[in-house]
Amino acid sequence: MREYETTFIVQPEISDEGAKELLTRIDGLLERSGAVRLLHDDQGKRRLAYDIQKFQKGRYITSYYLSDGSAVGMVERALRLEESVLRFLTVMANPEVIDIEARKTRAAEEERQHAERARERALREAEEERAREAEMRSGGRADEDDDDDERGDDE
Amino acid sequence: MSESGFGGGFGGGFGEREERGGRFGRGPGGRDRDRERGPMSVKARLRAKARKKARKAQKKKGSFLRKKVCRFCADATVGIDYKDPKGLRYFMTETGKLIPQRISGNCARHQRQIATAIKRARQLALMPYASHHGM
Repeated sequence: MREYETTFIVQPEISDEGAKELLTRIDGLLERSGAVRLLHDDQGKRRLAYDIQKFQKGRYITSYYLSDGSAVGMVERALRLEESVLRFLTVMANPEVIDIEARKTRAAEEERQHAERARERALREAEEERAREAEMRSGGRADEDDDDDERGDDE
Repeated sequence: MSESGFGGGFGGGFGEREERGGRFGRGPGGRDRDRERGPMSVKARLRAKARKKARKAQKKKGSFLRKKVCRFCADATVGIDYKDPKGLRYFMTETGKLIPQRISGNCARHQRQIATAIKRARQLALMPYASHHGM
């Protein structure tokens, strides 16, 4: 079995439920093509280095799975048809995974860590959102600050 | 007239001497080397010459030129990942071009990995193809 990782960028406005639905659809595809799903890593919203379809931010998700290669085409076709997906890239991470069970347990561990990080990120983002709203209410100074923030993100 | 004649004669004589010396000096050694790792290609010989020249130049300049070490060979814990634009940014100019091996000091293998990683990161909009205002 080979290990593949497919990273895709979803529109930033997509709801959490929408993203979850997309991932369950991918899970279904993987199962049908005889692949082993390892984990999905939601890296949250990131600023794009250049605009894609006029979006400046995107939500990055990476799916890891083991397959003989037949699953790749199916997953990519699904992503191509999905309009909320801006871009995707599949890379073979390991040409020969021998101990599948060991890789699976490691993936489970990684997924836990990623989930932890995602929770922290969500908390932080919510806080930032609150801070921004408070600033908006306090006056016109907010615009200037917002700009600085974005430049900070880019670096 | 006499001047040009002298020059030509000298040049010819020099060439002859060099050739003869070369044949005598290199004959057995060259054959030895051939037996060990096969004949040296023209390119390999040129490379060897360039290396020798570089060593000489370095000696002359003292410690001015430091030998660069590939940072990925020096520290095996540092991975190259296309999903990590922060680690790759060092190998890109402010305008978004790849930094050549000659300047970054990477070995061929790791430079190749870096180049591939940056190209992948560009596709995923993690790094710019070109930037007019720096990064």
